[in-house]
Amino acid sequence: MHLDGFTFVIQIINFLVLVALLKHFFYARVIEAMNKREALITTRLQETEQQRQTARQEAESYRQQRQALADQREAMLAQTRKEVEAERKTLLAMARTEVDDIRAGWQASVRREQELFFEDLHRRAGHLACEAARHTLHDLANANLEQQTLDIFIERLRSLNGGERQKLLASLDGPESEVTIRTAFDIAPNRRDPLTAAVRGQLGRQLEVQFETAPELGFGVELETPGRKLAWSLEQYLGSLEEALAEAIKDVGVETRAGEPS
Amino acid sequence: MELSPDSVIIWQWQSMVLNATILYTWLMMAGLVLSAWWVTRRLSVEPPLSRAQNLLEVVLTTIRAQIRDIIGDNVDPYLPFIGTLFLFISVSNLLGLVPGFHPPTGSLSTTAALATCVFFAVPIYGIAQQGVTAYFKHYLDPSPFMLPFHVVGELSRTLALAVRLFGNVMSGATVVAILLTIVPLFVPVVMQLLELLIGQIQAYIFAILTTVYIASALQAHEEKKRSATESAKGAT
Repeated sequence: MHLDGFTFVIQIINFLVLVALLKHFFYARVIEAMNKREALITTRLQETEQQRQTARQEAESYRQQRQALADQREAMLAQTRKEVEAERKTLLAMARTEVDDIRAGWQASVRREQELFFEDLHRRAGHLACEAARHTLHDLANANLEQQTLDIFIERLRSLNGGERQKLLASLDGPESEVTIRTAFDIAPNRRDPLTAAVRGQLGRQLEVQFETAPELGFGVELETPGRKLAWSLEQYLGSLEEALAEAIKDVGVETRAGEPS
Repeated sequence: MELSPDSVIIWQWQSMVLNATILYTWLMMAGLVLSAWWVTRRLSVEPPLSRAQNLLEVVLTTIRAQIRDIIGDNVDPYLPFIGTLFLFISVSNLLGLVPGFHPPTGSLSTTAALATCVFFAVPIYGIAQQGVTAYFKHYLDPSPFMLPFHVVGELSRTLALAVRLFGNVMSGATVVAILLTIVPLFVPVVMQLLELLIGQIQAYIFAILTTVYIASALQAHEEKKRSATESAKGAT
């Protein structure tokens, strides 16, 4: 067992040099590389964790959005169903109202046509009745009937009340005092005189009396002054009868409508 | 038969002697440094790593883990010293298996030099940690009468480190040499395997003991700080 002093010192120096060299070429470099790798791994782990966290948050966000969309869809569907139901009811009510209106209009139209038909029927019936009477009287008309007609007119002329007579007189105040007598038939000259005398006697003047034939009068006599007219004719009676018939038909129609079920 | 490579003189000039211990130490140092430089000149941070880089990182990680188990988390200030001790002894013992190679650790001069380095490293680390006064004060604890015992303890453990390592390596080499002369076949191989195991164990023991000595110097300070903190807490 020998301890060499020189070797001892050299070995101490050798060892210290080796420590310094290995510190530089081995420990420092390898530790630096390991630390870098560790930092890199830590950074990646943190990034991974951060990405995982982000992904989790995004997943949660997407889940919430999906849920919100589903809820919104359900709400919209419910709202749409409600609106569709309301619209259906509205349209149904409108259709019913429209159908009712159309039916009411149609019924009113039918009723009106019915009324018009009946009114027309009644009017035609009355008119035909009057026409029948008129034709009958025309057919029956002869000299005696014409004479009686003139007599009746003369009688009526004489039986004029004060007011009507005054009105006729007032219409004859002008310079040309002329009276025209129209008949549907020709008056024989010997029959004209009593008529002229009756006119002049009632109106009290020497009036100029003209005679004219007017077949449109039907059956009757008409006296015309410049402003007034005095007539007695079958047409007048028949007109009055037709008006009375029309009134009666109208009254009957009103009573019929009032009696119909609503 | 040479028991120590110190006695194998290769070159001598006046009082300067180049013996086998120094020569093989230089060769080993050159091999270690060149290998480290070769591997670390292109270290990759991201995988894939080269096999050599993987080996270096495994060795370094293991050494750091061992130191961390004893000293604590602050490993890096002690790593170059303790790690180099382990690598020096381990590689030296490993190369002892190479025929013709004289392991430097088979020289008492080398082991004594290493033990001396430990002898000085312990107070240096202690002083760096605690300061001169505080470090040397613990030699007087619990009583100034303990000072001689502390000094003897320091010297004896340094001597024990040196002699233990030298004895194991030198005895292994000697036993193999003797067995080669007696039983040339097979038995020396078994003994060399045993020597390989013993060599690595010695490297581990030397490094671990060094770590424990440094840790004891640091822990004295830590215990003092902890007791001061606890007393301060008790006072408040």
